[in-house]
This record gives sequence, structure tokens and C-alpha cells, in this order.
Amino acid sequence: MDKYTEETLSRLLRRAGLELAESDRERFLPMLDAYMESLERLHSINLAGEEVGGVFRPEPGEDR
Amino acid sequence: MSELCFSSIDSMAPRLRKREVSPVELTRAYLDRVHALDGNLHAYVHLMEENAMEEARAAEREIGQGRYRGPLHGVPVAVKDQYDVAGAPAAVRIPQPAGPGEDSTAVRRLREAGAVLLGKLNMSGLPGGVPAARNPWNLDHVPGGSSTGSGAGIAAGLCMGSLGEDTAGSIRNPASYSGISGLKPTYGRVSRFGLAPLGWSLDTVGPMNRVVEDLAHMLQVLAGFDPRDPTCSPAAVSDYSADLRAGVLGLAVGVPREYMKLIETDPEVLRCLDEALAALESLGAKVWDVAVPGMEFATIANGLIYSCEFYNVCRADMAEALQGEASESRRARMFLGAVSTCGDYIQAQRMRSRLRRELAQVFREVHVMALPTNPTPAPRAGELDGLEAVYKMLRPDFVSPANLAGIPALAIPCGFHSKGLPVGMQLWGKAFGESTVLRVGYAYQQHARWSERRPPE
Repeated sequence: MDKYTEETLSRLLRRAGLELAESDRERFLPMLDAYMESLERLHSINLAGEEVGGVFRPEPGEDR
Repeated sequence: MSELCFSSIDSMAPRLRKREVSPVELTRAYLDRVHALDGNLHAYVHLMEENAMEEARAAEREIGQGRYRGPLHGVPVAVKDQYDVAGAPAAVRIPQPAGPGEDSTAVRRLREAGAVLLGKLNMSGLPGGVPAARNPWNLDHVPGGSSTGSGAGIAAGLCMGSLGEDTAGSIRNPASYSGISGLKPTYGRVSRFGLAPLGWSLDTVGPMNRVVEDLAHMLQVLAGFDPRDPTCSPAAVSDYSADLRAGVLGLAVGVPREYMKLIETDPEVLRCLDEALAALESLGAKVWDVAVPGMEFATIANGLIYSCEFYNVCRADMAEALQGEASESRRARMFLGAVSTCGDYIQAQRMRSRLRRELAQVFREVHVMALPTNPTPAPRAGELDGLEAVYKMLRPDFVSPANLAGIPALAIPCGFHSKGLPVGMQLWGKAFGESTVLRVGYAYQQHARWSERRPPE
């Protein structure tokens, strides 16, 4: 997974309603790179056959 | 004063019922202790002194009239700031709730059980200006987060029971660092209604106490279906005290040794765990290793889900959420959630399904799993970078897999580090298997007696 350029990142964040303050750049960008590396490892696992929501079992309450 | 404030609910309840101790006397003792000690500990963010004394007087009247409600009647408790409490502010809420609001379901159930609400407790991630809670065992160290005040408050004898909340270890971390017991129940066992959300599909309401039998009393009141939380389970509620003292003879304990090797852990923490496992064996349990390959990716999957959901929790009020006083970790988590894709989120959810299946298989072979809670004792305050909480989710940890799988996880003290700080271990059970983890935890607690130690004053 490519590292984010500052420009790409700023565009993504603007779309999300966020802005990366100048004071945050130096600290947050290495963190984002490390995060992307972790996501790459997560995506490397073959999870074929696993459905979403196995844990999440909402039950309806009684109608009133 | 100290003796009253370090009593357990289990031992105090019969004395309250028999009117040997008055709820008013007990509440006054706690409030006096808070005034004496909390200037250094910062466990509380909002003390409800008048309300507490009023509730204590009401409890005294009712008990005197023979209308005893149960083991929490007249017992002084406090809750993490994350819970809505009618008439009290909620610093974590963005924006602040308008008007007096109403109690969260957990708080309402505590009140209905007759508990006396002393106030709201500190937590990490609050806006700047709120002093961070400190560890009663050594004020230079953190008490563990994010339920910082819940851990410090119980350890220092500033309340008899507390509520924490666990999204990625936030009940178990402070229980371990502060030398107390904490239970993250099965996801859906306790209603989240009125809890300021961090990650909707992970947030879990749970009790924190000095001893395991008190966790059982608290959970008994908290557990059960609530139509106001769409994820709250209708599963029948067990009697959590019924089998508490049944011992561990013949029970099987699984230890995920291979997974534990992925986490750099202080040798003294591993020694404490091994001694605890030997103690369980001496009590009649069987202990063997178990393999759960999916745990390796559980922390990043849990962290990803947490970040994505947290970003969306805050999105509607982003301007306020990102004000200069928002903590760095809070802003960082929002940023990570904002740049994650739906493909990332779904991969994490599929990882959750895999892990749940693997753990369900393991719990066909063992009754509980045992592992450390944290790899080290409590760090010094300021030792960790402000972004450390976010970096932590990028590498395997001991707590997140239980959040991802939604299973119950008990944290109890299992020794002390040579630095004089507590060390904790976890016991995990199958979904809705709280009774079994409490039973094993109680047997170990009664054998080891770490819960009888008190922090210096």
C-alpha cells in the first residue's frame, strides 16, 4: 500500500470534514504510515467464507 | 473510616440489612475520604454530595421499614463520566447534553437496586483542563485507562463499586494497573443506553470492584434486556453468585502461549501468571496450552473498527470534537477512522467472525482461557507519548481479542512487581459464560488473597 502524500491525505481529510493542523503533521503522518502497514497485513489474510456480523446479533424488543 | 471504606459489598450488605451499619454513616465515610484524598488522586470529576446523602437517608428509611432491596441497597457507588446521570454534567459528551437529561440504563438499574450514587469518575480522553487520575499505589504512575477514575477510586477506597466501560481494554487495563477486579461482560449482556459511545459495536458496560463476589452482585443488577439498546441481548440472566464458591476442581484452563510470545512482556508479569496457573492447578484445575491463530490480527481489527466508529460518532459535531482542548489521542483516532475505507472496515469485521469461530472451538475444550492483562505494570505518568494509545492498536495486545469477539473477560490481581505495583491476569469465557469466569476468578482470589492488600496512604 502506497504511503499517503500530504496532498492526498489533506484531500481525504477535507472530504471527511477534518483538517490536519500544521502542528499535527509531523506526528500524525508517521502514525498514518504505520497504520497503513498494519492494514496491509490485515488485508493479506484470506478470510474467504467469513461473513460479517457473526458477533453482532441484535434482537428486536417487544412491540408496544 | 478506612475499615468501612475497604469493605466489600458482599460483607457490608448483611450489616446494612441488619442495621449494624447505616447507609448514611457509610456514605459520609466515603465522602470524607474523597475530600481527604482525591485532591491528589483526581479519581472524581463530579462529586454529587447532596444527592448522595439524600439517597443514603432514603435507603436508611427503607431498610428501617423492612423494605430491603438487595445487596446494593445503601451501597455507595460511582460511575465513569461516560455514563449519563440525570442532573450531572458529562464532560465526554460532545456536545454537552442539553437540560438535566436522564439516567443511562446502567445507572437507573443501580439506583433501582438502592445504590447510593456518589458521583462521576475521571476517564482518559476528556477535554484539557481536567487533571488526569493517578495510581493510588504510586502517584507518579497512571492508574490505567480509559476508566482511570473507576480503577483509582476503587483501589483507594473512594467508592465501594464503580462502573467502567470497555471498548479496547478500558475496564481491564485500570483493574490491572490499580490492583482491583474488573469484568467486561459479553457484548450485549448489559444495556449501553445512555452511554456516550466510543465504538457502537464494541462498547461494553461492566463493573469494577475490589473483589470478584462484588462483581457478581453488580452484574446481577446490571444484566438483562433493555429495548432502548438495539444490541442488548434477551438471553436469560444467570444467578452469578450461585456457583461462585463451587471451586475449580476438574475445570480446564487454556493458555494461549503462542500468542503471548508475540507480545514483549516483562518477565515478572509472566512469572506472576505462571504462579497463578500453578495455584489453579493446585486447586484442581487442569491447565494446557491452546492455539487461536486469529488473535494475531485481533488488535488491529479491533482498533480499526473502534477508529471508524469513533470518527462517525464524532462526525456530526466535528468542530467541537476537534477543538484545541480535545486530547491528541482522540484527534488521532478520528483521523485514522476518517482515512479508512469501507473495505478496511469489512475486512476487520470478517476477522471478527473468524476469531469468534476460533474461540468458540477453543471453549468446547476448555472452560476458561488465562493470560496476562498488561505486559508491564503501570507506566509512569507522562512516560507514554500522547499517541501511544493509538500506536498500541497497531501491534498485538492482551485485551483487544476479547472485545473483538465480544466474550466476557475478567481482570483480577495476580501479584506484585518488584516496583511495588500490581500485576493482573485475565480469565476469558465463552459468550454469556460470566458465571464460569467469576467462579474461577473467585477460587483464585480466595487462594492468593492479593485483593486484601491496600495502597499506601
